[in-house]
Amino acid sequence: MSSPAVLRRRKTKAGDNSYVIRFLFALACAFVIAGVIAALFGYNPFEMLLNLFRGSLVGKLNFGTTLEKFTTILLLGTAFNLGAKVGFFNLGLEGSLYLGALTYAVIGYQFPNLPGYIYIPLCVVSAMLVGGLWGVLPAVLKAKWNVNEICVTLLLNYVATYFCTYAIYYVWSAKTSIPQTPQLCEQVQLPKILMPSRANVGLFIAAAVFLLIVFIIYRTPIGYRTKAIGQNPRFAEYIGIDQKRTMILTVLASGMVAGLAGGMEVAGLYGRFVDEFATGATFNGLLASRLVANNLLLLPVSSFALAMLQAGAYGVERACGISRAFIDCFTAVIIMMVTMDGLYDSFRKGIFKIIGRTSMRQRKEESANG
Amino acid sequence: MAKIVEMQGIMKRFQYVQAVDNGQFDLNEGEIHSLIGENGAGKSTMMKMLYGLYERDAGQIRVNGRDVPEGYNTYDAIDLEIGMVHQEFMLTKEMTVLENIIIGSEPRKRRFLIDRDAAAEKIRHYIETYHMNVQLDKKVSSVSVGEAQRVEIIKALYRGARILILDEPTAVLTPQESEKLFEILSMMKKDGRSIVFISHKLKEVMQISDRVTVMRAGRYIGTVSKNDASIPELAKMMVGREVFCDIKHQSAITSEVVLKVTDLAAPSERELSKLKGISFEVHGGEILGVAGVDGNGQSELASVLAGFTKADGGQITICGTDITNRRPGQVRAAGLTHIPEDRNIHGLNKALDIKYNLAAYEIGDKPYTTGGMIRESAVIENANRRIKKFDIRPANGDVMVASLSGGNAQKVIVARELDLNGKVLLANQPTRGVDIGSVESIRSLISSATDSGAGVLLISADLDEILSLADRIIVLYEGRITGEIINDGNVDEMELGLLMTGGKADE
Amino acid sequence: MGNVLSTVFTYQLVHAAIRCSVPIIYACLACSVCKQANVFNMSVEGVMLFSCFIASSVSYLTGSWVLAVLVSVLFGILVSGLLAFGSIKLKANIVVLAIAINMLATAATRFLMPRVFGCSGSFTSKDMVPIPTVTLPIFQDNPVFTSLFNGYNLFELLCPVFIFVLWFMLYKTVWGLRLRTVGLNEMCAQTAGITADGYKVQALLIAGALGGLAGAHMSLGYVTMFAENMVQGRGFMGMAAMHFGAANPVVASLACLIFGACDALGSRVQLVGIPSQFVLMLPYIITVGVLVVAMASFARKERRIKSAKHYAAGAAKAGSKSGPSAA
Repeated sequence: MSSPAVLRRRKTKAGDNSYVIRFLFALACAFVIAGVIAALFGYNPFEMLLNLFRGSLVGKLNFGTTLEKFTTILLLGTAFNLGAKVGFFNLGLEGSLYLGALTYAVIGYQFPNLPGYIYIPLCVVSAMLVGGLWGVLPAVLKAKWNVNEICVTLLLNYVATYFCTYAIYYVWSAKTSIPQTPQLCEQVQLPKILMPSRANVGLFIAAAVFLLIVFIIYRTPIGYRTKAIGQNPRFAEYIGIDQKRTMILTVLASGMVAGLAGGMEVAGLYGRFVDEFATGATFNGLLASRLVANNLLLLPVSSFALAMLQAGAYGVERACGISRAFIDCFTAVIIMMVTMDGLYDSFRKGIFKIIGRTSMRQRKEESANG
Repeated sequence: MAKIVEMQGIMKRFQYVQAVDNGQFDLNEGEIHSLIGENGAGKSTMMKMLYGLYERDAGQIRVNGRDVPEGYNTYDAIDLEIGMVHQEFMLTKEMTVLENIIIGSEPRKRRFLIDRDAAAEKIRHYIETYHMNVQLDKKVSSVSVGEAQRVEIIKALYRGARILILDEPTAVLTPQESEKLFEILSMMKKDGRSIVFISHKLKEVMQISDRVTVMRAGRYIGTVSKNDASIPELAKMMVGREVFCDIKHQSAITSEVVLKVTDLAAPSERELSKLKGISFEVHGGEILGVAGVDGNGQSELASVLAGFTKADGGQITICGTDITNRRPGQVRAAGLTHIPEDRNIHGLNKALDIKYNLAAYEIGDKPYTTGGMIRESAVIENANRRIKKFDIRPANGDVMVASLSGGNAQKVIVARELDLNGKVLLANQPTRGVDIGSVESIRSLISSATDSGAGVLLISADLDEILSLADRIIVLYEGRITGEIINDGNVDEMELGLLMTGGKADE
Repeated sequence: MGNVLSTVFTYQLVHAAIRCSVPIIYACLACSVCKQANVFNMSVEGVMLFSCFIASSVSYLTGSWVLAVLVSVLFGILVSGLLAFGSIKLKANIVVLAIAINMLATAATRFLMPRVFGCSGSFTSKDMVPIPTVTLPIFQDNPVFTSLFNGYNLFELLCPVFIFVLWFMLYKTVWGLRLRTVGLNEMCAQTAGITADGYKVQALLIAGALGGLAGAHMSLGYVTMFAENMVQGRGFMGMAAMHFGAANPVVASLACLIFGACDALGSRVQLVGIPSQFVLMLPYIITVGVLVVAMASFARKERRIKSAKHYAAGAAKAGSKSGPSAA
């Protein structure tokens, strides 16, 4: 049996290692910048780095926390990636996630007598549906009137967030001092693994969903058509692919995955919907996907790296007293560096030359290389 | 006579092709010098380097006896009084003609404001000197192609161009409009301006130039004075052999109407390109040629037939099935196959290799997909068969289409579309930008497409192509059909030209 | 019901609406100037948050609002310059880079807040000197006029000036003609000897300055405090308004007034007992709604311009004319 096309193509790409060098260089830049800034604030950057790793990998609690973050980020990354495949910049993941989570939380405490094997699928499917339907609205607007999806998704996130806050204050409130929904029924909560951390079997569900989507994207005609739209929309139209329909369906899937991520958080971590539990979720998904240049196959790697950063942030906070906000800054610097494609080349040519007009010698070099 | 431009040992490489290999060119003061060659011979690339749009990899360019420095750009070129009229006009269609002419060297008042009156006065000087008719206050989107070209010429003159490069200026003009252009060019020559005229139409070249330089496959072939040259000789220099495409289409035309278009009206950004109610029929086995100058509704016709844009009125049927305003997928299902106008935009998915481009339409059907999964072995098998049948080079399905030459990339499309055995083939400018070897084979493939009883609608701005392939010719002018001619082998080109400018065949 | 309406709709609403829209207008101007050069600038949100923080801390530490505004404008230019350098020279994806800048703004201000103000969440102090408010004595006697025309701070009053100046620069000057050409057809600009990248950088730097102004105005004029995430999507609303106005500063600013009015309306509706969350989401919903209506009407307008329908009606006649002459 021949090895799958995808894998072979990766191998040939890996032969061209300039991408890897660029990536590592960008990462190194980010680390240096963060280290210098940490030092300026009087922290020891090496101690910080050490604690970052220790706080994310060593010990059941720490590693479990990494896995817990990994579950969500992997799903959100997949969701963002799906949108990117059809040229849809889905920044509305947060809205889908919140509404999916709310759906799971609300349905999850209604029927204490329903058996788990019916109840869990019911909750999961409705969370996905609500997340998907919310997420698909901007796609419909884009398909129909070419409304900029970035604007719409960003603004609708606020609407979804406020709606959830309203719902847990007034409609489905647990009537406790902090705003939240009542506790989920036992049977719809996901069992924890790696106690005392909050990692749970949601990890396996996320992995299964990820693998299913990878299979669809790379091995089926549906995936071929979906990718064709992102690669060349005019070609897709010409060859007879219904662009708008495919885009809407793909964004629907993207929203569903985000809704699932929300459901998993509620079912596995909190056991109920607590207010504003996932601020910045959209950006986690975007980061995970963009870190690996929207390559779906490498998504687990970037998701795990981001999860380590976030879990490690707690460790850093405990050990060095650096607030978690600093690690968030660090994350932002990483994505900045990685997205600058020309960083490595510019560095090689000398940073001063590219600021001014390109010098004659350099042009000669270029033409000699070309 | 003084040489005002000398180019020597010019090299230019794009990603996959050596576009210019040891190119050479010179220009005397006050002459019209034609630069001729096939598509892809490197003519435009040479001149874009002279105009500072591309940077040369190696070689020497001297203007007015002085070497141009490394890092020479458009700005420097304008300073050296060089102007260029590009094949695709560099005009902002949302802005007025006046704004387009002055952009980059605007007359100012109070340092920051645009002095429109001074600008208009200066422009009027050129309009009157060369009898060029343009309307300064109109938006570019609403003027005709010929007028847009005059705007481009004025734009160059306005910047003080003494050296004017015209890149295939007659490709978008009717024979009559071309005549007018030649008059303008001769007047400019008398004023002492020097003109580089890029073309591959030998008749025109012989008519207006003083000297002719020939390029082939990026290389310099030779320069001859007009008095020492003849058309067959130039043709031989251009092509490298004495062959001309001459495929005569011989197929039995059936009585079945495969494509019927009735009173079709179609939208467009430009008023002149809107289809204003056209009707025609294509029979099985027949090739119907659509002639006309670019921008008279050809693209719009193809776009509506393929289902990309919605018609504003009328009806389209394929073998009796109404496909008006259906989606592209449904139109294809009804039996349309399509060689699109621009292979890079519509025809190919450059992120993929040859085999997946060849299987693009049928990818969801058996045998390519079984049980919901793509079977790569079937895709490879199919690719190998089509590569062989249509002689695509390199004969390897794993090669990315982005790295193919224009001719072979076009063959990938032709292979995919012809092998579908549709009922109607819509071929829109099928040999544009393709090397001469591939032109021949693509034309004969289109001709043989009718053997199975399919009808072909051949849209082409290349009159030779239409005359050698089509059984019947309709002419589009400003979105209307101005005439229909049976191609019996003795069609008068001037008569066609008249129809292309809106005249009537019998006038 | 009548009572409710009179509580909500008073002449004070106009005052509030104008005040609410000014930060959005500045953001919108920043987005517009970039859009005219065909640069998609999403970083205004982050630039605003940064400058909110800078302005409030400079004002708190030095007691000078002038210095605070100046420093935050300079910082806005700096951040925008980073975006320009990264996206043009280093070929970064401008959307992703801008999002990263927004993230950095959120995280960095949260990180720095305890270090400057010694607390987190939100901070206000008597030592924070706000932008002065202008009061004209002629309106002081009449409560209605006072409410309508007095009590605006300096940058609220200067806002129309900024709108006009930007409009004038874009549509009347040589600079504007070139900038718009760069935005509409970059190749055309380049062949005319205009360095397109230069104009894009200029547009981004101006947007940075305007974003800095917007931030300074928010934390020292609109309110006198700093709070985490206090910009609350106003940068994005400005972006939506820019789309609504097709990057024309005047039209886009009108859209901002609508959004500002919703904002103001919201805080009044709260008085009559509607849950605050609905009030808070109102401006976002209206913004999306206005944007959709605008885009739908653009689409319809474009279809009408392109349409050949009027030919379809007379087609039968025209067809019969050209048809037989052919054969």
